Amino acid sequence: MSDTPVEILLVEDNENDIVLIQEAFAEAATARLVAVVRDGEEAMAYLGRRGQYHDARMPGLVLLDINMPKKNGFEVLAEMKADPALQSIPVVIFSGSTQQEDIARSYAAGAATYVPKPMDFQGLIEFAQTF
Amino acid sequence: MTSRSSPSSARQLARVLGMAVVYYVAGRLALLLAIPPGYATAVWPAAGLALAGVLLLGNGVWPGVVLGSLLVNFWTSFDATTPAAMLNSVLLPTAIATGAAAQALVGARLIRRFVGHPNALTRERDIFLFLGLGGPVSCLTSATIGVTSLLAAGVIEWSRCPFSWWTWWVGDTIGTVLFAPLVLVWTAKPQAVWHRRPLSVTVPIGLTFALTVVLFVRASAWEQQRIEHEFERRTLNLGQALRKNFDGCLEVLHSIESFVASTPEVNRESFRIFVERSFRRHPGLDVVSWNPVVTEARRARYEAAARAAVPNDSLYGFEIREWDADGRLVRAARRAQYVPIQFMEPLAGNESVLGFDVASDPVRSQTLKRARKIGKPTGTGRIVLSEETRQPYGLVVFLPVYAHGQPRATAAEESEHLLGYAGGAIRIGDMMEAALGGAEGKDIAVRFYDDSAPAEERLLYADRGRSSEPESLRVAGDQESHSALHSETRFEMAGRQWTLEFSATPEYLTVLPWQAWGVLAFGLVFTGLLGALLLVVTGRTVEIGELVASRTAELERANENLISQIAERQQIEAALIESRDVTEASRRDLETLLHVISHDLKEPLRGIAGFSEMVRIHYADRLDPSGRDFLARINGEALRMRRLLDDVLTLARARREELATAEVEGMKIVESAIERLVSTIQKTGATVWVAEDLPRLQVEPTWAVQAVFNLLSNALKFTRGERPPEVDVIGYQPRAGEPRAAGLVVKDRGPGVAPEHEERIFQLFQRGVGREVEGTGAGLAIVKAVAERHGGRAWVRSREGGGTEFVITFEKAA
Repeated sequence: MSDTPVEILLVEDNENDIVLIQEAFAEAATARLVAVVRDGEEAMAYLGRRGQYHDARMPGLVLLDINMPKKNGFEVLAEMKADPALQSIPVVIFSGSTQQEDIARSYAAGAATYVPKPMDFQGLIEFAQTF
Repeated sequence: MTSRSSPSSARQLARVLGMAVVYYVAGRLALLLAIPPGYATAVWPAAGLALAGVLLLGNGVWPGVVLGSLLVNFWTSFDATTPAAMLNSVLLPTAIATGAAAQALVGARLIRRFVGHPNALTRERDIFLFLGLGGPVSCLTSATIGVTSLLAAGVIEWSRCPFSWWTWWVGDTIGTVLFAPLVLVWTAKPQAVWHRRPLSVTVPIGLTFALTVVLFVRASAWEQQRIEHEFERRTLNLGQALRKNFDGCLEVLHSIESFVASTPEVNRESFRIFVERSFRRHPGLDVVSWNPVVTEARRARYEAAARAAVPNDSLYGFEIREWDADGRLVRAARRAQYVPIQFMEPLAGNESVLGFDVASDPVRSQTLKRARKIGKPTGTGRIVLSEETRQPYGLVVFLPVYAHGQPRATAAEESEHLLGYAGGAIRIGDMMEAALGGAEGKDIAVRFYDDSAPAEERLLYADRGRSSEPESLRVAGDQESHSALHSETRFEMAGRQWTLEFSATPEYLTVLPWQAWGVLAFGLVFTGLLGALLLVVTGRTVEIGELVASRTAELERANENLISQIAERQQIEAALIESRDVTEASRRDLETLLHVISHDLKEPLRGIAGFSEMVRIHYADRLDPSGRDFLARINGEALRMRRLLDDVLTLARARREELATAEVEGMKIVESAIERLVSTIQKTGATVWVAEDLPRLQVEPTWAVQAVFNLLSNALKFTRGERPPEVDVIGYQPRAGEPRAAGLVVKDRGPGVAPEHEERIFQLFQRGVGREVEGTGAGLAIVKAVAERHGGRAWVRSREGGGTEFVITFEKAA
């Protein structure tokens, strides 16, 4: 755990999950969400500082959901790893799926870690505390 | 005897006529093979055809056999010379025809009885019985009837009966043995099976038969040649014997000539002694005489001297005599010369002839002149020598005798020195019989001709020999060829030309030509045996063929059956596979559905659980107890729902996932499961005892652990009363009747499972206990799914002393 809060880009489409995660990080105070984008396209626009995100602040870590509209997590991950500027940003796959395929694919694609979304808030808090 | 079926009378008539025609044709052809002189045929195919006809067409064709036989025999032996002969020549063929028909009927009956008809003649027993009964046995009939009829009709003698019967029986037997099976083989049904057999049997038999016939013809020809040579030889010998004898008689004259020439005075006594022995050695010699030439001048002195020479002259009163017109002996008239018989031996009975002037008889006088002319013994023509009627003829031979050492160059000298004539009378009959021998000559007819005589006086001797007409009515068409044995010899003797004629009597040719007959009989017997052999061999072939055909048909049927069964099976298999695929597909779909649903359901659940928790964290103090209670319930239900979804997901995965199994110690599995329950065990104060000899298991470790975890978790929930849970884990030992497998048994001391729930509890969400017991109701379903995915089973059984035993088995470790 570092002293400065990690700056995290949250890529998530579920509104409830976004609220809960923000609350959890607020509780844990270990990291702060620098931005929240709701789908993969937005994520790439942000990371590419395109459009409205022309002066976006680069995150220190990307918290990436898998099942999203327009562009899903795997595609974002692949594009990030293909882009020299974005390669080095660690990506944590944060998904409701506990399927072995998703896990394996995530690691294969270069995710730093795979975390299944906890089913209760306490679990979220514990997760947030690990940063 | 009635025929089995009753065809229309027109058809029956056609059959009868057909039988008659066949019999007739076969009979005529067979007669070409008749062997002389008995006219017996060594093969009588008509008998075989008759038998086959009766077998094939029924007993009712017997009139056809009678008719055919009548036609064959009648034609060739019809004799209309006398009414008796005519009757005979009608009755006799009728009797023989009856015998032939009876034979066919007897044979058919025997065959029907012991062999069966129709019969394929494929088995050895059938073939040999057929040949035996149809051949030797039934052919006794016609031979016996026929020979008896011949005997009764007086056509043959007793002595010839055995041979006739023998040849008749052999001929019929061979004809039957050869031809009856051939006919049946050609007309047998079904032709499909038989089609090669007739040819295979007929061709070799036909060839052998033809060969036999050819050999027989050669042998016959050879035999015939032999007979002819024999005949020639014999007649040659006979001729030579005759000439020798004849010559011998003439030699006697020569010896008399020498005797007279050398003896100054010949008297009766010395003459007699001289010629006495000659008669024994020359049987044909009747008398010999000395006939001196006496001139008229010397007559009186000659007669006186002759009378004086005979002591007892009272009987003779020798004088020169001649025959008068009435044939009596009277004193000879006066002429220049006389040639009286001075001596004659043997004298007895010939006394009256002494003194007879042989020159007075014109025939003898002629002969004397000729004899003088040629200087050799010269004979007269035919002369009746005696009163016998049988062989009355003879001839007289004269030989001129001249004085020894005197010249005869001129006629005058010759006449002057002629002393007289030696004379001899020869009985042709005796000479012939002596020359021709006794019994040996009886089978050859002899005729002896004097060619130098006028036509009506030429036959000197004839002997027909003993001849009897041997008979079988199977008479060959051409009689002359067989009695044509004939030979003629011509020679000159005693100044005349003679012809000696021999012809063979039928007796001569009765000497049975054993060689030819033997060849034919042997050849035909061989052919018959060959036929039997061919029938047996082809019969076997036919049977084997039929067997092969029927087995092949069976095999084909079985094959077709198999093919259709296979097709059925394949169809069933395809249907099964299809349904299995469908089931699998739908199962997969279901499980995918389950998975997707439970996954998607988790999302809102997260929201519910998370926000209700948020409310509790931030706003619990603003709620009254009731409010806090409601919140707690919301949280609780969310949590429960999460667990349900997790279990369902697990179950779906358990059923769906491929298992990568490994060999793992059972102990390890159990330990892993217990690790996850440590807190629960501590909390409940439970005792878990694990046996040390847990088996090795071929399992996918994660799932095995999950299953055991579920079982242990259940066991820890169930206890009796307030006692802490007691859980035992041992290795699975099958009881009698249980399947053998590797597995574990988890035992608890809980309340037990009611028997009616033993199956239910393994179903998803079917619980055997109430809600007071924690659990989703999916645990055992997962256990069962894991077991079945491993090829094992999961079940429950009650425990002695209370409680439950849960058994989970996996496929046995190798």
